[in-house]
Amino acid sequence: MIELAHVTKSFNAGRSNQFTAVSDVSLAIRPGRVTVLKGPSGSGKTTLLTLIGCMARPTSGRIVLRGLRPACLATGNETGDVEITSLPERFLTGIRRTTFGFIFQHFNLVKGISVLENVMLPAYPIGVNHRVFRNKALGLLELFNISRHASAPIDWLSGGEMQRVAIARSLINDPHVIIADEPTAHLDTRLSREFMEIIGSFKGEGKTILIASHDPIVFESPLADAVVEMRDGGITGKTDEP
Amino acid sequence: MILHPAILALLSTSLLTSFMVLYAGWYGARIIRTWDIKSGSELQLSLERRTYLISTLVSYTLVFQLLSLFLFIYTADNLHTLFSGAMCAAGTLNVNRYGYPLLVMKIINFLLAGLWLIINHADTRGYDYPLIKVKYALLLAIAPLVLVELFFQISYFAGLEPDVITSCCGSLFSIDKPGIGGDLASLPSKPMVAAFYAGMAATLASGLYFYFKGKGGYLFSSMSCLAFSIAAASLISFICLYFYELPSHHCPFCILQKEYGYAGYALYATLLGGGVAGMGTGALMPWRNRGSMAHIIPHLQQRLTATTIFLYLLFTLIVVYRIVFSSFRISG
Repeated sequence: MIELAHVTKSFNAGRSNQFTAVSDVSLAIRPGRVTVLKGPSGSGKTTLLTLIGCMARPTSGRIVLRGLRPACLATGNETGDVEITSLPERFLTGIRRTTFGFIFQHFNLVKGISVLENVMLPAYPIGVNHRVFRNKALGLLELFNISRHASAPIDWLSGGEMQRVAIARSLINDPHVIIADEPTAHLDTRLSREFMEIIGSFKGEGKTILIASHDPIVFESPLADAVVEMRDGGITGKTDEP
Repeated sequence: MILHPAILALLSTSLLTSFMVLYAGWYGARIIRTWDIKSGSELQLSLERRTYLISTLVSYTLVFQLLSLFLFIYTADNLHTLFSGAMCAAGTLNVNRYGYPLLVMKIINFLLAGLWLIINHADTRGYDYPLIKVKYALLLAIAPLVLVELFFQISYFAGLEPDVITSCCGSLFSIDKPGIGGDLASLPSKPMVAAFYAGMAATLASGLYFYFKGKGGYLFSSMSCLAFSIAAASLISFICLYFYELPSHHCPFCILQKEYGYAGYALYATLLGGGVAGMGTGALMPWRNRGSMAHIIPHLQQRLTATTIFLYLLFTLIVVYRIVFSSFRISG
């Protein structure tokens, strides 16, 4: 469970050009389900994802990961809950690496290195045996049917293939939560539906999936358990299947 | 005032330290007043973000503070040739009335800065800011002392005139001289030798017990403080005599000179370093089993204990080596 309590994110706080991207958002994201943040461009979806994914800190409010305490914060008598907004950066890094898998709108793959190396990249700082995570990366490429491109430079791939590499990369550290920001923005209808099928398989594995999208293929999908509507930084509506 | 590069460096360091400690102290006062980890208010989150940056900057500043003590005694020793009658740093410090108070303030601030660095190190390892109020309270206590040091430093260096006739260390640390220097010099040698070895042995024994059993942290810390005081007094009382091979020369500064292999720097560095680590071990005891510190402080205390034992042993070895190979012997 990911709980947000009165989360606000302002940029240039206290200045004349202050902009509030997320305003007083309180939300509970249930585990093992697909939650879609729906809303027009500029509604605060991406900012909210970056706050949940420990890539930015809110201006006020708290975010608690219940039952998702990573090993780097182990104390021996923990309840499994961790409040992420107060954590110093060094701990956030550990959480980002192990708890979340990110799929970005523009994929954010590293050019100049191979497909396999891109997938393996997030596993290097974890300290796992190289052979183990190399085999895991090859397995993921096989799963997404792109193993034939393993040694090819990332620049040679099509949009759909690049996204599958991005998805494989997000899974390399076996995260509990998958965060996807506008994952179908650069895909045609067939590839978008294919993406949702992959999301369905993640859901089947019990992963928590959080997607920001204004694509009907995503938010009207039967896989979406909860749809949170956003506008102007706030939540304007929510449908949540029991 | 003498425009010596080291004097300018010391003044710059002192000004920088005072500014940083004052700024961090003001910020620390806000933390002590308003910190509430359970709150998600804008103020609380802003304090959380800034404390990391401020404590990092203060850490670097206080490392300069530690180093400045050694630069100060080096400078005082280096300048003695400018003053008639001075044979070492003892004479330079006696040029005006601010010299010795400044040295005392520098030693006090060295110990407190070391203590703060240890507490800050522990605090930044925890994810729940367990020592945040303690470390800023300590910083608020250090702030006025750093300002006093700055005042003494400016007054001392501004009052350094090359034509001043000062006293030599032989008279300042003579057993007939009234005052702390004379009192320490006149301490009876044999009981001091016994107290020195007993203090070091007790620190070693309590340190090893704490290191392996994890018990007796306060005892070890107290023993290391006691051993620190005894060793500092012993330096003047009898250790110096073996370096100078003279029965009446008790100066704690001449051993900083080339003639004595700069042994004074090694002695002071090991003693001060060991003392700070020992005190730090005790200072962390109340938080040893609290929250995220339960996994951090015991390991840190082990490292600090090992540091104290190592540095005190090194100090003792230097002393024993000198005693064994010196032709001087204390009689009676």
